[in-house]
Amino acid sequence: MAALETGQTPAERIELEIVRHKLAALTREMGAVVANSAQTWEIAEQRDFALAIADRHGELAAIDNPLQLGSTTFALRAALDAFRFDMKEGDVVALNDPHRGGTHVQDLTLVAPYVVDDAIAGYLVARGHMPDLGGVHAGGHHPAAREVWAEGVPITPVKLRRHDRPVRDVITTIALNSRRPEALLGNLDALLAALRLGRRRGDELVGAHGIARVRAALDHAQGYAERRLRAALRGWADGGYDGERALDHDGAGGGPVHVRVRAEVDGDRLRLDFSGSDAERASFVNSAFGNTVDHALGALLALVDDDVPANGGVLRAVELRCAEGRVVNPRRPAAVGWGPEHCGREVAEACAAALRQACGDGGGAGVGAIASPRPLVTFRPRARRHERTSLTRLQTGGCSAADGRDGWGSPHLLSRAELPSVEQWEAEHGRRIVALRQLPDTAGAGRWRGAPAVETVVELTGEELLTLCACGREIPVAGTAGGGDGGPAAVVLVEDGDGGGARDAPATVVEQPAAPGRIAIAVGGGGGWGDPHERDAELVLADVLDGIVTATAAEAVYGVVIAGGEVDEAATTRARAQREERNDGR
Amino acid sequence: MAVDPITAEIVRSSMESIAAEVVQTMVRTAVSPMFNEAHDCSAGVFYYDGEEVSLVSRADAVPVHIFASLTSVEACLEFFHGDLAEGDVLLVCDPFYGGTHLGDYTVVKPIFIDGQPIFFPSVRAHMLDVGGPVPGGNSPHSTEVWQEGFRFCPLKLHEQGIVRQEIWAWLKANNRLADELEADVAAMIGGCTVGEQRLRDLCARYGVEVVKEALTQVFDASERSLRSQIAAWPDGRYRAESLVDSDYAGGADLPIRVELTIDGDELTADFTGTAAQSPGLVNSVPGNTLSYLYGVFAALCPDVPINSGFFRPLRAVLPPGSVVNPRPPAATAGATVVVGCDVGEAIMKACEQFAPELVGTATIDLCDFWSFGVDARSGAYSIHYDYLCSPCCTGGTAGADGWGAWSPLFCALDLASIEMTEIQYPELYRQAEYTTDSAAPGQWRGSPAYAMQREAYQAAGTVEVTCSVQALRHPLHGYAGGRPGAGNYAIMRHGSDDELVVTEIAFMEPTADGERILWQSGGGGGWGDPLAREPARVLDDVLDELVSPEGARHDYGVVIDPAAMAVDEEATAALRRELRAARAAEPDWIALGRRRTLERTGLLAAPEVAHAV
Amino acid sequence: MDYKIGIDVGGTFTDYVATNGSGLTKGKVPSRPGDEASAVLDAISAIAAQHDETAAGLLASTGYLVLGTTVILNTMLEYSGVRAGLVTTGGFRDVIDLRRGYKESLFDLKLPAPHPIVPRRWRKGVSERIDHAGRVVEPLDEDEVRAVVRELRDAGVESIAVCLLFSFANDAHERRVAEIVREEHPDCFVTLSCDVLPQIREFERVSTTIVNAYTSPKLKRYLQRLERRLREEGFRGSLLVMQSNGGVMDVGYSEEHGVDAVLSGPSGGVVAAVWSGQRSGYRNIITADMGGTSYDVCLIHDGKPEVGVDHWLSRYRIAVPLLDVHTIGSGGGSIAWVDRGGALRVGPESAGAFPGPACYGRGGERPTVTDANVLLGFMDPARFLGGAMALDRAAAERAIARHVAEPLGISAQEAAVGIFRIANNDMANALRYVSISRGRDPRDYALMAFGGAGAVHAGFQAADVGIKTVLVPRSASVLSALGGLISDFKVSRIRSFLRPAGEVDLEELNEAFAQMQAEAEELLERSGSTDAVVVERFVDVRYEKQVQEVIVPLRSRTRRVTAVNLARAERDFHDLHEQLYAFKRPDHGTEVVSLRLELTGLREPISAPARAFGKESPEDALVGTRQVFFEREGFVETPIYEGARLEPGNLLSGPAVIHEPDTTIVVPAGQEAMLDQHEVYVIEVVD
Repeated sequence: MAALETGQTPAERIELEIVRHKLAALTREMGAVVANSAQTWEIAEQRDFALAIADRHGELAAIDNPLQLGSTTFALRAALDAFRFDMKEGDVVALNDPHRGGTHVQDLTLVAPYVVDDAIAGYLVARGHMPDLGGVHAGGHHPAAREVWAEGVPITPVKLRRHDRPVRDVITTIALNSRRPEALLGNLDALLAALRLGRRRGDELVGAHGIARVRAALDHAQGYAERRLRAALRGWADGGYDGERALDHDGAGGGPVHVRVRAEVDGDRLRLDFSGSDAERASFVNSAFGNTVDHALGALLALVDDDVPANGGVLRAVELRCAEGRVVNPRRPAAVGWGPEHCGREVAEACAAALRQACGDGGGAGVGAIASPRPLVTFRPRARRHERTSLTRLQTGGCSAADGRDGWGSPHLLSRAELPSVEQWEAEHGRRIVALRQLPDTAGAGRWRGAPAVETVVELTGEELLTLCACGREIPVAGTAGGGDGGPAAVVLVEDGDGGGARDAPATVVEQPAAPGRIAIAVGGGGGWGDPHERDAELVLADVLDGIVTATAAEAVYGVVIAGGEVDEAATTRARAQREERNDGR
Repeated sequence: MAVDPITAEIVRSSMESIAAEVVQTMVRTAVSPMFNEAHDCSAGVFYYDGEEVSLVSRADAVPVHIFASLTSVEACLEFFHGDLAEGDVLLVCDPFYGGTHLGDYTVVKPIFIDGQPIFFPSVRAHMLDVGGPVPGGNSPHSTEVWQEGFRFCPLKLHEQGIVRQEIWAWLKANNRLADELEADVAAMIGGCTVGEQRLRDLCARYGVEVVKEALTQVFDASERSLRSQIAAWPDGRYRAESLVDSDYAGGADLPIRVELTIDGDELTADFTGTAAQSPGLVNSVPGNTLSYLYGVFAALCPDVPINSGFFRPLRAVLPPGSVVNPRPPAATAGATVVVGCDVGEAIMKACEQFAPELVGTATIDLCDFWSFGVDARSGAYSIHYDYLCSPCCTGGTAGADGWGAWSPLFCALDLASIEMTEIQYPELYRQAEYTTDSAAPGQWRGSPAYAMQREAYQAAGTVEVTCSVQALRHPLHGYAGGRPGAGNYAIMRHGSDDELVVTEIAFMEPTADGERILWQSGGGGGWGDPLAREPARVLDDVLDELVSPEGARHDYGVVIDPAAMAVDEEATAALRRELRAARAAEPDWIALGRRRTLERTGLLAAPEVAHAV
Repeated sequence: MDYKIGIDVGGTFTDYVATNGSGLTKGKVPSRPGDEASAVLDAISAIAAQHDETAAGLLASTGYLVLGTTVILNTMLEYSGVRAGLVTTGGFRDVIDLRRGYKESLFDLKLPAPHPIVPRRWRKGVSERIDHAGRVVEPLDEDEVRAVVRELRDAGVESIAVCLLFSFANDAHERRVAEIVREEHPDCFVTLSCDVLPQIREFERVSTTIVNAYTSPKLKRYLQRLERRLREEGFRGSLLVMQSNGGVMDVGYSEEHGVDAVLSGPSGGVVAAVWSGQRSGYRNIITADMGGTSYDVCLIHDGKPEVGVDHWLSRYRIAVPLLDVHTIGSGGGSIAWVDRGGALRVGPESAGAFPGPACYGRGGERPTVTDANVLLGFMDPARFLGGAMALDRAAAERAIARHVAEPLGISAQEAAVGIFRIANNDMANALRYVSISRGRDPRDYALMAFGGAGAVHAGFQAADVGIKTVLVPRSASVLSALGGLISDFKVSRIRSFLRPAGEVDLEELNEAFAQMQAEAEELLERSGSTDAVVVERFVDVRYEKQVQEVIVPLRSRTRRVTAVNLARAERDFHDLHEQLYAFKRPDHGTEVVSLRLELTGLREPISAPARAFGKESPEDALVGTRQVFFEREGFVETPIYEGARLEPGNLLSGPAVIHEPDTTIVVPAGQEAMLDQHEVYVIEVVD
């Protein structure tokens, strides 16, 4: 609304900025409430939740978790489609339907109207990952799922509370469909508490700035994000760019899953079309459209300079499209359980691959791979079906390099999750983590190298039923601008005793008894950026001394010869020169 | 207030006709063949006196089905205590919240009179799909209730007369046949609405106080009837057991053990010693278990009006954690018939010891058969639960041979018309006919077993079928010396060189157009000593090709002169003497049809068969 | 002079009605069990006598004679049909035994199987198969057919039913089987399911078909014998038979379609009820025919009786369209008993016509509704059947005392009251059922009572249900015979036509209707019907996947059905569905299941001149008083009127009892009875 912008005094503009920041801060504060009061690791550690504030049209003005901008927006719209004219103060609508804007059934979204003077001024949204909502296996990750009903119970928009009172049959029914009703209700309380806080702070904001200003700020925040993004896009070269990324397999015996995007940059507008992607699969790798949009925008925001606030303004500048029945926009009742990981991450990589070309030499071009494949590995004790231990959460590392820096830690899109402390984890699970270490020669080589793969080794007693879906073993993280690919991910089973020994785990395993021994999981190493031969030899030396790169690899890949703990300058120059000649030879 | 017995009787018969109208309306307006063809649904009128819920009257379909709704109404009152209003319509399904298995939906409509919820017209119907990982919710791999479908506690579908669209949308999002679900549940509500009107008329005509008092007398009368019958039976303890073939989860020969204690005019059924709760889907919650207890005694006293008064003299001890009283989250999808019917059979076998002249097969024992596929004619996805594969369950009783298809307690389940089925589903039936020598021998024989053959026809691509077999190793019992039924089994790809004989279960087995599937539905048990059967009746059966001359000799000791097609009296007498001696030595002799069944399924060698037959 | 004669041969009596243009002659003669023909001739002599004619003279000048017959009904009740066989699709010969799983009792383990009217040994499967679309999946094995027909012939089978799967979609195989039967077994009676009931659902069709095979030959013999004797006596007119659909057809048709004459008698009664109701100005009527063993109720809406297709007779399913007479086992002969729980129950067991109620003094020991009526003073022991039979009041009292009063510890009279009220309630529930189950409100209807004791109870039932008017035609006792005089020729044709409403091809539809009409017209002509013909077309429609069809009239004014007619019918369907089932889904797809066509050959109406009103006071008919019981008042000294002496316009107010020669009419207190100019007692019910 340019009208509001113009004719504003600087003081007013400053006040709008203040309110905008307060709104963003408020979503983070609400997030803290959720993180601190929730009882499950998905929320407390993985930080798998999102808190948002929307204007009265249902467009987000602020969200604490940029990676759920799209799905949260769509979920809010779905809730409003059902109750637009039946939302009163004290009402709370709940939904999780992946085929109505959601991601997968475990992500439950609550929507509450924010009412001032009996009129709806906006909406508060709280979403969190629920421990279990029925389906075949606790936790809902079921590689063989052919329909969403095998992953849990879809909840279309229902009133959870009316006039500040609980709707008993609805709440009881939701809990009844969970193997862990107490934890689920606990998480619900956490989300509700966040909504209450949002309401209280909202009243304070209105008290301090007046409803008109707050309304204006809700719009201003989006206008600001939109202007920032459009400005960035104008810096890009107009034209169409294709990006593609594949997932090794679909978890149900199907071959590589291809996600393809066509990006069209036109002045300050961007269109992303995923219709070229593979058809939906009869397995849990499909990505619900909301989730697809999340990852696409995640990539976009990573490539434009990254303090463009994530909110409805971004959606104003970007048009996202995908034909129905694609693996990234499956039809009801397709299964979508693993989508938020895979092939959600393939969506992000495909977009990054396409947009990098558009950036020209803008900042974005310097960004390497922004995610890395993480094998799904969970198990439960044979006797207790409700328990489920995830080793995925112990996986870390694999960040790719960018122009000007080596990769370190976890990739951009995965950095929200905290790695649990080994001590705490062992205490919780009463089982040993045998090792948690970086592996040599797994970092994608390059002028800037990726982060090495991190291997996690955990002991298995033989009492476990294992469910896993390996990925990143055939298709590693790609290098950028001449950089090398990262080392492949790995899932290895090591059986105790002789006759045992290490073997690669099958691509997919569902509730199989594990043999006593150990399981070793490594995410792929990050991809490198730029020509390894351009890497500063001293940095290579440091990596060799740190055991990240072996001397052999240093010479073979980087053309850096190490002798006696020193860089052999002469040999290095020779080695690097020889390659030049070979190249000229061709 | 006192009410004369005449008024009481008038109220009673009016209640019966109300229940009939409720189910009429439901059946006629439902869209699923399950109801409008098979009538797998039932209606009841329930009454709440402020303290307890009572069944007043019932109609149509399987009585045990609606008996189990008692707990559904109780669950509604419990859950919505203090939160029930005129115009509410409630829906129940969860086995641990007043239902029996997720497939059975029960609509309950509280009728308020003078501000109190007094009557509850109710319809229970079996839904073809309830979401969950597997179509039809009937997977042998289910080990917990969450794997069987969408669970819900009692839900308000209407709230004070207003439809809760959000709840309907939710139910539909968890169903593969959402439109059918919507229409069928609407039909159930329609039935209850008709019932409401008639109940209000009745109360208006006589005054609610009179009706209440009349009901008290109606209950008392039925109670007196059963008590007098029980008192006439000798006091004592009577033990019996019936074995479940399989729980499809590795468990075989699950014992259902019951000890009936008759003490004066009270009867207690103690199930201590019954199999522990199964990891499979056959666990029967108390509501279901009790309904079979009630059902058996209803069948022993056919002339007594059935209502909660009739149930009062019957007590049950159901060990927690057993297959007749499982703890959550046990799977229950297959329990209503599989374990339920063995509960009925065990009780009936116990009754045999004190009332032999009354007993006979009252329950059934099924092959369940589902097919899932796309109809090439319409392109529509279809789920077909086919009753036609195992309907023959009727046993002999003192004075009557078994006949027809279902045994009495189940005979309101209409078998679908084959012609209508072929129009509704991509299938072609090749046979549905009694087989010779398959009837369980007895002085009064059981109904013959029946062979059904079917093939996919005009299906788009493969059709997946799930076929679960019960009562093969442990067929329906014989009584008072009668032999057991022949037993059920199925054969996939029948007639091909790649036959699959199903003795327990085939799960989601692909079949294609032209592939035959054959079922044998084993027939009910015989009653009394086959050697005591009138030779003339045996001859009739021979003429009707239900018994072969060989069978007449082997099972009945009757010799038929093939030329004259007449009974050879002398030879018969001689042969019978011979057999009587032989059978005294080997009481578990195997009848001809039973033997053929065991041979066809390769079970004859199996050791457990010895005590199975 | 041209006589028209209607004769209804019943179980106990043979009723007759005749007219020669000036008023009606009516009466009864005793039936002769096993020899209907003679009873008919007795009736003719009786009519002749009343007209000072010889039977021959009467017959010579009789234009037509319409018969109501119980031959079919009795054949089924007694299972006395002919040796019948069945040829059906191989693998399906037990459909009739499986009966779609249906049994009459849900709890009775000892209920025996139905008597096999076609024993399994005479049910033969032959190789052939036709699919749902009428395509031949497996050709007919003619040699096999020949072989089984010979077997049946050699077994002495004299009537063969042929019912093959999907013959309604393609009748070629059935017709071929018929040809082979005629070749191999020329004098065998043949029934094809595609003729009797060309409609989907094999059990309903095979059951109806074998009932026809089992019973028709007997009707054929009877009609041939009777016609011969009538011709000998000089009868030159046409001999017609009352059909269950409320029409009449000639002998030739009836001989082949016995199953259509199952309800010959009762439907005659309904037709007459419609007629006399309309003359007295009532088009919405519930008829209640209370006999000795049953209570038959039929709903007449806007002058049209409801037609039903789901009847059972002697445990066999009959699916041809019949006037929808709903029967409950509660009649004058219903036995009252006290169950184990000490509750008083009435029926369903019945004392039947023999030995009958205790008061008949024929050795009946157990108390019946009739016994209660005697005790309560409704019936005059001396006037039963116009005095033809004296009732034993003491016997009635003894039976009630022993079997009801003593067990309940109440007086015999209290017990009688109980029996009376319970019987009334059961019948009242039946009245509610026929109306409410069709979405009609019984209070919008007049109750027409006929049959022996119908008019004793009608007034009380009406008050209970909230019906405001009770009608009792003076001809109540011979209503069925009267129906014969009034009925038009009527042929009902039905044909399966299963497809989504959206895909109905008008050409195809009209072609089908044209064929059906041609068939029907041919039958009518053969029956000697007049040329004044009315065609009515209907479609059976249902919601997709639903199985209960609704019969929807097609409002076509021409020989063709137009797109508009069809669209209109589809819209009407939704409303009819809602009216019937309180529920409609206009947005949901519908499909046509079958086509129905009713061809009516109109007959000239009989003339029955109205009588002028006399004075208002009924005093001339007052013949005395006696103690009669009324629920609210208890026993009251009640005026008794001689029906024969009452005149149109006479107005009498209850409590009162009217004795017609063979009917008793009880007018409870607070009600008013008047004989109108059409000889119908109109009883106004207050409250």
